[in-house]
Amino acid sequence: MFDINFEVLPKAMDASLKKQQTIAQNIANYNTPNYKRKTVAFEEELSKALGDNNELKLKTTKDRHLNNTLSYKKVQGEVKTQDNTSLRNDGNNVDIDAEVSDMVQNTLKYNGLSRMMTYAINRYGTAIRSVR
Amino acid sequence: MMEGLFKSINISSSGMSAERFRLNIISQNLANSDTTRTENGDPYRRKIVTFQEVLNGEIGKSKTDFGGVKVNSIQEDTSPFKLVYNPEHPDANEEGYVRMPNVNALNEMVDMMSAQRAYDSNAAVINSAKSMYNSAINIGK
Repeated sequence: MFDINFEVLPKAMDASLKKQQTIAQNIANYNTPNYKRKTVAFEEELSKALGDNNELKLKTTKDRHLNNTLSYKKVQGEVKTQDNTSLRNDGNNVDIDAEVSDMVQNTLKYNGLSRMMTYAINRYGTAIRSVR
Repeated sequence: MMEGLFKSINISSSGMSAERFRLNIISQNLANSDTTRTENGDPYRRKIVTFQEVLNGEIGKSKTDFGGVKVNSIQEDTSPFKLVYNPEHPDANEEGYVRMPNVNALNEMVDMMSAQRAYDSNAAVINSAKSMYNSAINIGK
């Protein structure tokens, strides 16, 4: 498409949605013995794919060239289980306060992203109207 | 994508119904904390609910499709009954001792608070998913 906003913003919203599901799963299993909290590395992978960190990139001119970073279009978000900690006697390691604060942050982020999506659309409307 | 957002609501509602079920069992335990006679003749035994995580996905692959939580089983607490000296009680044995249920009100209250907190947290997740859904609807306005 002509604007990178329309590709990256939905991807970031997908990442946020996946995170919301992970938080929901962790909170739903708050009282499940031996449950270990799940995390999803979607956001980290996306930021890596967009080249936000200072990693050395291989130069490519075609999609099929050998590449050391994934294209942001292919980022899936791998689910990981954090099983090296324990919070309670029953082996469960869900910290409810941390999950709720993650959830609040994530919701605000999603709402902000959808706001940005609106602005990205409205910019075109402004450009179209100002010609008249 | 829509399905994805409703999924987190479904996960949380499975958590809410599991916690509600646990609360029902806790109130059953508390209601029967003085029951000295049940159908099999023994005093009431404390019941414990166990939960299990639900993961959907294709067989053979690692399951990453979250499905929430479900009630796995209701088990009975096998700890011994309390013996209380009360010779006037109809269920007292020859020495005058009555076997009382192994329900500890303190444990039940703590479990109740834990179930309630978990229930509230699940409800909060539903609210926040709802706000996300609303903001997605309003894109472009």
